[in-house]
Amino acid sequence: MDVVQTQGLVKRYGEVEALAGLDLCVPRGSIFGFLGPNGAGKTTTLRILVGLLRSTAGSATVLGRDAWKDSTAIRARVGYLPGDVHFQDWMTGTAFLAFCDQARGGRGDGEIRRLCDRFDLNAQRRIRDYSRGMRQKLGLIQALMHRPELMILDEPGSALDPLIHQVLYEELRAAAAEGRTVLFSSHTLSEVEQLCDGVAIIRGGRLIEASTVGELRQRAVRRVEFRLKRGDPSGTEFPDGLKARFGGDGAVTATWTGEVDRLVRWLAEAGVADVTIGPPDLEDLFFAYYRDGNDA
Amino acid sequence: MNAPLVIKTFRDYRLLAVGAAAVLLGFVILFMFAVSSMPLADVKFWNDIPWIRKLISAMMGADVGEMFTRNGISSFVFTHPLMWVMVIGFVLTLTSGVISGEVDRGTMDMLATLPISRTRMYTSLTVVALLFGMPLCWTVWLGVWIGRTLVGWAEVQLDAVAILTCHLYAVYVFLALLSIAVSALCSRRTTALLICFAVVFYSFVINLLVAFWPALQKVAFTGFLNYYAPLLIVRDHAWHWGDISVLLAAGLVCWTLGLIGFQRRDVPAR
Repeated sequence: MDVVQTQGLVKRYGEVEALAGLDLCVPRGSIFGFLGPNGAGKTTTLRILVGLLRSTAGSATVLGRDAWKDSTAIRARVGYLPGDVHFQDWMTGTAFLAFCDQARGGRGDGEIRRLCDRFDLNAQRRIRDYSRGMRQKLGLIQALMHRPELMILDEPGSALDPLIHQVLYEELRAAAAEGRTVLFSSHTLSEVEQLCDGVAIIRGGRLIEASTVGELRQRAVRRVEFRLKRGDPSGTEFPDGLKARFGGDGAVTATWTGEVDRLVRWLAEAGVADVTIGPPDLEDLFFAYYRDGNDA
Repeated sequence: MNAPLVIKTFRDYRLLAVGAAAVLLGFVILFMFAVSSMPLADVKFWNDIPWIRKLISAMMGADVGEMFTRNGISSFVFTHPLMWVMVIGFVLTLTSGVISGEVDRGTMDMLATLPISRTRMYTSLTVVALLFGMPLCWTVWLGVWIGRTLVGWAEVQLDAVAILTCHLYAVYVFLALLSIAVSALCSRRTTALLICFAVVFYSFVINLLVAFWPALQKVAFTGFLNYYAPLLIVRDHAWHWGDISVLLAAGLVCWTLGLIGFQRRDVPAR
């Protein structure tokens, strides 16, 4: 069952159409990345899912319930991190987390302590004294502390140092392993590659790609360098998917799109003296989607 | 209603409430000392200047000529500009801060994604605003009691002043319900404050102008001060239930409209 499902989701602000008919499905137990250029509609989508915004048309269901009409019930089972975290600065982190815990029924003491240790946050201090990174940690802790079935995180890695990034990834992987679901938006492609089972790319308020990371890797470009045994590569008929450039000394630098074993079979038949096949470069693929929204 | 939210909001605004009450108490006691230090004949002198008489009568809700007694003069504190500044200033600061202020600061995101319905949130914040108003308004009565005791004005009738305090609280309730409704519909705290201030300003202006242009009596009902007449209350030693009902009903209508709007509105990202 999909924990998040949107059909024809539209959101207009006057003349501006932030979402233009988004169809999105997030499977249960997955870590799902939500990508797109600035202004694509990612934050709008996430805010509709948690009941902060009301859609203009279309439907959005979260955990099988209507995201607007049943938002109070949904919020009991969801943890949300806004893209820009703001707190009441006069509170301490401890007081803020205690308030959130009480509002959720008051059973999260142990988990709060554990997460504060994990994320290395001194919650006794007043929030006004927190750095940007500390505020982000506090926001993450409030989103995760009640062990929600679904975590909706808007750019969770923002302002975090690399060590805390790893802690965050471990926590999210552990949550997914328990059957809980993570939906997060990000601009960090390596984060998406590392973490995600599935990815949706949005542009201009529409979904332009939804796939697993594995499938995207199949379509991603690899850099290939090889040298043929016979030396001079000119006149060689290259297979579809291989775009080659000749170096002066018989070396060939190319890009390959497609299944690797097809390339390997061709190289074996052609007779190579030396070959280097790089990992799939998702960055170019994503940039192609960001730029013009066409299939890459 | 949501208990954690009520408790948290109480904690957030308790210092402001205590400070406002302390200033108000100090002012009222000083006022009692000030008026007691002037001979009644000197005070009555101002009554003979027509425009001053009209001005004070407009503020007091009745012709002051009738009540130049210690009882009547004491009730003037219930319409003194500084008293209004403290009471209105407090209620607008609190109610603009709890919803529009939260949206403006971006802190509403955290609040609105807790499993608290918007109805409960709105009701909880209203309860806090109304509860803070009680001690604030009764501080004025307390100041009169302390002042009366210290200056020896035993003829000041505290039971009449108590009735007046309840009428002041009815005005406070109207302002709290109106301003929380406005706050719920605005995304900027400044906008909410300006709208509420405009309503207050309008009421004060229309209340004063009516004293000088009787033709404006036709529209006097549109200002909330039309339903608050301290001198009449003290003179009659009676409850003006009609005025209280109008204030509470008008407040409730505004509050309900605010609730409906708050349930339907977007919470924009900051």
